[in-house]
Amino acid sequence: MKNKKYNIEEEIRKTMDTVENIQRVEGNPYLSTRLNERLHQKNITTHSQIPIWQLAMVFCLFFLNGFALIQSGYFDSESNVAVEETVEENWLVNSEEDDLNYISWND
Amino acid sequence: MNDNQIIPKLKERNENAFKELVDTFQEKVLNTCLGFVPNLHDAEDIVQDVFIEVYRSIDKFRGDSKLSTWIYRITTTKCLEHLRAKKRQKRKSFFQSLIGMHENADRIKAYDFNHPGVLLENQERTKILYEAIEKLPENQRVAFTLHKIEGLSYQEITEIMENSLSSVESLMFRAKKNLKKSLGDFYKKNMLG
Repeated sequence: MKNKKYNIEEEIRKTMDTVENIQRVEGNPYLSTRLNERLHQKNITTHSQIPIWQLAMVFCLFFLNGFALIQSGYFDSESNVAVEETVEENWLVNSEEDDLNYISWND
Repeated sequence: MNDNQIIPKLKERNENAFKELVDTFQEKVLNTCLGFVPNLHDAEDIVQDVFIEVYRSIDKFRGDSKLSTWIYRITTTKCLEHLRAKKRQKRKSFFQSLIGMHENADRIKAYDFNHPGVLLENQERTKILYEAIEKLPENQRVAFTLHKIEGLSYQEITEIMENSLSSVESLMFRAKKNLKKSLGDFYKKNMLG
């Protein structure tokens, strides 16, 4: 038992001592080049991330949509009234027809 | 070039000054990274992240500490971030394996041991030691790694960790005690079992 305890303590000591035997690792001679590439890439991405073009495209789309709607007369009050009148008339006609159909069915 | 000469040039984004900084510090940064993450591939990735961070945030460096202290602080932070990310990944893959999505569960380990500075005959033991270091609380791990693996003095560690000398001493004492306990448990289990 005493021997086993000694062995465990010896193993711990040997393992703790391995830290003293770790050798220094030399750096990568191409690191500067790689870093320059990465920094350059980052700059490019940062520039392309500026959303000026995206914003311009969004505004263009809004403008074109608005223009198309105005051209189609969507905001024209007279045409709206006309549309409403047409809808009401059609509804009246349809409902009268439905009533007649209903009567004829019941007959 | 000393700190006072190189810092203004770095702030001007002078490429030669940056190259000199990389040449001066890359070995220290790499060996510190290997102290935390004993895998050459991962450590080299962290080294790149460290220097990118130095380049990006040199304007924030006020000069209250030495440039080397600041770089060591960034290195430690990056290494701990890397280890936390690996832990999260490991936990995620564990839960995925529980619910049956175990595609990557076996592949994701904390790291594969690949430290070029460890002699072949010491590899098994050093791996066991690293596994024990991994179980230490973060601040004990930082103090132990910087002192025992990177060979920094307590005073330097005090400046890097922004702690008092007595707390660094206490961290080192507890780190060694915990490591011995952890290794003792490991050997008891393996020698008796």
